[in-house]
Amino acid sequence: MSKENLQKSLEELEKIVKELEDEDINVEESLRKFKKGVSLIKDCRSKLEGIENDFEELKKELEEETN
Amino acid sequence: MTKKPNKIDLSDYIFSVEEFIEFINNYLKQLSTIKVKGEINDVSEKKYYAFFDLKDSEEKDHVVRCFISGQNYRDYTHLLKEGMKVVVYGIPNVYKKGYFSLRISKINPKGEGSWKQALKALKEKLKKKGYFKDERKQELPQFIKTIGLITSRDGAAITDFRRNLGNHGFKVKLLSVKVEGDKAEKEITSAIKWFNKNKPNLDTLVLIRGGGGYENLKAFNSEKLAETIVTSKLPIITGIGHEKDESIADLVADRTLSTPTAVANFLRKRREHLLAQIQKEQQQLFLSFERNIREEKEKIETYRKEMETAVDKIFQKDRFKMISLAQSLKQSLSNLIHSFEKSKQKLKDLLYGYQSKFQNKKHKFGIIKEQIELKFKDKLKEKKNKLDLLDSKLNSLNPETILNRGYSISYTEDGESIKNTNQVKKGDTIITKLSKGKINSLIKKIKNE
Repeated sequence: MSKENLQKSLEELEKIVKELEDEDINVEESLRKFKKGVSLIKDCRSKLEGIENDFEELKKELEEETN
Repeated sequence: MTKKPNKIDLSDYIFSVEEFIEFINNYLKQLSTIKVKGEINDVSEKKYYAFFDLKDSEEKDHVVRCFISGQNYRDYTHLLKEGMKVVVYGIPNVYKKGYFSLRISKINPKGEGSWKQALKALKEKLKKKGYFKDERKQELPQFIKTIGLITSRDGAAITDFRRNLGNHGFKVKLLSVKVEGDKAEKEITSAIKWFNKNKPNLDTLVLIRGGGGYENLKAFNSEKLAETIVTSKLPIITGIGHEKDESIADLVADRTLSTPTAVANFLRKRREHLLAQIQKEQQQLFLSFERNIREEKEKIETYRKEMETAVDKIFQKDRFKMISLAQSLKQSLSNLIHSFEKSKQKLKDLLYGYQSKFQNKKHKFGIIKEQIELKFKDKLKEKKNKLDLLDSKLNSLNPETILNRGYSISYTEDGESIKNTNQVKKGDTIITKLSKGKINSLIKKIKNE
């Protein structure tokens, strides 16, 4: 999982939100988009969580090495 | 005194001259040896034989012609002196020339005067032979321990001898002999010969007897004994007690002492002297040995000192070299230590430098690290916020949340959401989705507004 992927997902999510704000969108489409948005949010959260964990782990390793 | 010969009847027999002389001689032989005493006269001596007349006295006319030859002649030549009174031993004999004689086998002087004269003559004879010369006599061995003693077991001589010999470890082997009488000469000579043959390792022979007159000493004045003493390989010491003149045995013996006691004293003193000398020499030996040891010790000590000095010299020679070497060694060592210290300090400084640099780097690194962390966290937070925002926006845009407020969505049977009436007609079934659940409805009427 890369930062770019997260960035892409966020961009896509932003796009979905914008599309959903457009009143012309029909219900079926909006629901489909919404579902996609929810899955993207879940995906992004888990990605963020993974990155955060990785960061914390790396930080810990670095501190242990430095000391 | 006439011994009558066997009576043979010769009255009818007529001898030839030769037969007659032979007959007479055979007849005379039966008489064996006879002894006749008389005075010697008209001696005629040749190289190997001699003739002389025997008379009762010079005044008398009766004469017996005597003939002596060979060994007998050599033995008794000293007695063939005019007027010498003797007893002759001999066998009567008639020569083919017709005259009568006695063949002599032995002559003995008769009476003291003759004996002395005979003795004198014998001494002269033996002297001429060189028997009395000191050069001929044997040296007594220095150590006399074993002695062959020739004397009578019963005489006083042996007692005197033994008493004076003392107890000095002498070993005495006695052969007892008769020292006077007819058998004495034979026994004494036999004893000397026996010792020579059977005890050749004895140190000396000792021939002794007590004092006595000339008659009693006859055996010691015998030419045969003199010969035996001279030919003895063992040295002979005599101790024959007598008043005046020495006996012939004394004259020929290797050593002569006056009495048995004197012989014993001589042997004892000689041995004592010898023992004392041995002791003295032993002491001298010890002394000289000690002296030798001392000298050797001194020599060794001298060598040791010389060696030490030599070694010292060698050391002295190299000493300065060694000292300077040691000093330069010390100096280079201290230089080495000094440069080492310097290097060590340098290294230390370098290490301190590195350490402080490292500390700096570490510090910087820490700062950078924190900055990175912060940046990262910011970024993360930013993303999170964005996500949260998007999430809330998205939630607000959830079409189904409208349903919760009492709105509903209707779909055609094809699943199309109905926004316009033209999408349906009377009798169609539509599906209405509520917040919770779905309703299927049949269209009864359509109103277009």
